[in-house]
Amino acid sequence: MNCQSIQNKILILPDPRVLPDALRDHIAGCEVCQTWAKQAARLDTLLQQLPVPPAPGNKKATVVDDLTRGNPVIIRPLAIPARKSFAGSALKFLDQNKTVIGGLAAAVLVVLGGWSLLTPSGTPPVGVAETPEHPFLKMIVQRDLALAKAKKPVERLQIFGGLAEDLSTEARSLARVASPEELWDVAQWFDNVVKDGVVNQARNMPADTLTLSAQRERKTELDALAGKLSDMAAKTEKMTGEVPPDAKAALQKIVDSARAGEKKLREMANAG
Amino acid sequence: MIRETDPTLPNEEAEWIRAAQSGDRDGFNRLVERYWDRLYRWLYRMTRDRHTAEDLTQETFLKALGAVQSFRPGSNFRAWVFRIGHNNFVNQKRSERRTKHQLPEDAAAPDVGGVEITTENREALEVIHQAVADLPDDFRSALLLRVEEGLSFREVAKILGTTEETARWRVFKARQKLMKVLSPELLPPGATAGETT
Repeated sequence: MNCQSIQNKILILPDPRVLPDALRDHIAGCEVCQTWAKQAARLDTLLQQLPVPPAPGNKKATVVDDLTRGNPVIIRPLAIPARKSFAGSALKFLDQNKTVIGGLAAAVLVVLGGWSLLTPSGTPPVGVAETPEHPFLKMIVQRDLALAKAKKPVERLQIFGGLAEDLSTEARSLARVASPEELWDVAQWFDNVVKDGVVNQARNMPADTLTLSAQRERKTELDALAGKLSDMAAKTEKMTGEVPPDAKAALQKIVDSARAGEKKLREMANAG
Repeated sequence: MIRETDPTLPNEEAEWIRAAQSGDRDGFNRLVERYWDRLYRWLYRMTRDRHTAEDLTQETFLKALGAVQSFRPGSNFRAWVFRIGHNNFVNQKRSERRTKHQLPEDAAAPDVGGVEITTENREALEVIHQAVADLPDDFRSALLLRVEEGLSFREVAKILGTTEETARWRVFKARQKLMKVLSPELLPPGATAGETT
């Protein structure tokens, strides 16, 4: 074995401070590799000594406290104003066990419900949604706010596309840890966003009502979004081979919804 | 000095998990007590921000609480929780910009069983801290899980959603990069380059 090979083998050990006999024999007779071995050992030792600053808040104590006192440990869902289309469903979700996924359900419903209640001038509905302390929910709320501000159909289409992407990414992240029921919920919301958000919004942009340049923009957007749906389908499909069996159905639903959405968008793009 | 891994008390932890899955919050509480600081430490290294690390740690345990029913008894709870933490980190990275922090002057000394940090070591630590922060996320996460957490390559692979071979490779590449960057700092205190021992 040459020195380079020995040195690489030291670095690939679980712990360079514990050398197997095969390496020790060479190192005993080689000063260069001896120095290397000492440096590698010291590196691991120093890595273990890297200081960690204390957490700035008191969140551990809060969680422990809540658990100990028997308080529900929930991520606070959004305050849902009365929405014509989705209030009933939203409240039903909120009444259920308030897991992270419960909060997500409410957040997604806010987005879809809010869009349906915008006034013709684009004024967002009255009522404040509190931003929850949850990165994914924050993203959903940001989509909701962007939707309220969007003036052009193509902007709304992009936002719905982004929301679909957020949901498919979240589903893939949760696929190994969420329960099958929770994952199915996310898949269902994804399906809703694609059908009721993306495809419906695209239908509200018929080509024959647009100027030539707007038609070109429309086709470009529809093709781009179809491409993103295709990408979501491919990534999710790839994951179905890597998750527990009870997660596959939900992921497959996302794949099917994404592909169906892609097909519809391409038809609309080509028809226009 | 080899960091002692958490003394395994499989029966005790299994009991806590069983209790948590039956709705006993005290069971889950004990799991939080056991793993919170470790997870925070790792997430701090990944995010390089105390606030974000704490938020992610909290989010991870809340998600774990919500999903504890889906945890398979007998499998590795620590790896499961860290996996959730890793997913949260990946999601967070997508939505927030990361800021790098210098090693704070008043950084808390870690619990290393009473090992004293000498002045020479402290200087080396500052350089290593930055070098570790500069590693690609994949390499850094694998290296720290292996070295700081004492996890096996197989456990590291499970957490990062990859194969054991890839986990081993990432640790190797991380060490290789650090060795290249840090060779003067890695000489034992008092030694000079070229000195034979």
